[in-house]
Amino acid sequence: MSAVQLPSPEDVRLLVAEIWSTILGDRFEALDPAEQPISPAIGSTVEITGPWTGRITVDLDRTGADQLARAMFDLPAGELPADDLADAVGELGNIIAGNIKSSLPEPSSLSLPQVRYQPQPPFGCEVSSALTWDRHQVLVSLIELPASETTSVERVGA
Amino acid sequence: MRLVVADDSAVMRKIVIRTLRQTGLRNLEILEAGDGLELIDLVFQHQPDLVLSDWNMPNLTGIEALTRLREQGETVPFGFITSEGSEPMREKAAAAGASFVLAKPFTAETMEDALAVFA
Repeated sequence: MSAVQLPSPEDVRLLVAEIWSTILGDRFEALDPAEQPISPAIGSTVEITGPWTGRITVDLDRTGADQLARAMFDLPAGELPADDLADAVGELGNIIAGNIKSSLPEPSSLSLPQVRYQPQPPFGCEVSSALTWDRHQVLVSLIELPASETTSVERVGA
Repeated sequence: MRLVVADDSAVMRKIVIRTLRQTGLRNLEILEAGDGLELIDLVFQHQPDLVLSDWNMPNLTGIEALTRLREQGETVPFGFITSEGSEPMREKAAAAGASFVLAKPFTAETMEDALAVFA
């Protein structure tokens, strides 16, 4: 395990709350720590390579992801194309990972987000922050990896 | 004012454009690119007044696109909108010829501040 100082779960909660507030406005209740185990249905994974090498995963329940995507696209209720849902979830993961990367030592590189329709196994998770808003749930995790296990093309920035 | 907005995420292009329309900028003509290659094509085809680009995009990143534009003598003002704005990235962007780096998430106010010089 690396000696890099990672953000705490509370740091992650505050960061995600700021992102929720800025992107989505005041339409949602504040993000609070989740008291119940969450049931994610869709998520994104972004890899960071550098002094700390690992994955940042963002997992959401289906209806919460749908609500967020609609807010981001400014769409009314109704059918949401799968591509738009994946795009919104991927971009949320990209923004969260990019902001977390800013708190890590340089030089680090960030991958493009990969969208998943299955929960990320929690094995090896170093930091985990489960949050709720408006009866929906989001789980943000930082998972350290050996550098040889990263799979994405390295790119600097986000 | 003609702008190119480049981001591989359609939702982020939509948010950028929505936010641009909330600023004091008027008479906006906005062209969209999904990666750095499309960005370069749009710049040479349409001669925009400003480029707003994501940093990390497939095929050709934002910083690679800016470098290619400058190598070809293109001086269009160029700003990055990216999910992390560390000091090394800002320095790299400035060295390549970028005017500013705006970190995501942003508001109409922070975008207006970044674009004030172009209003």
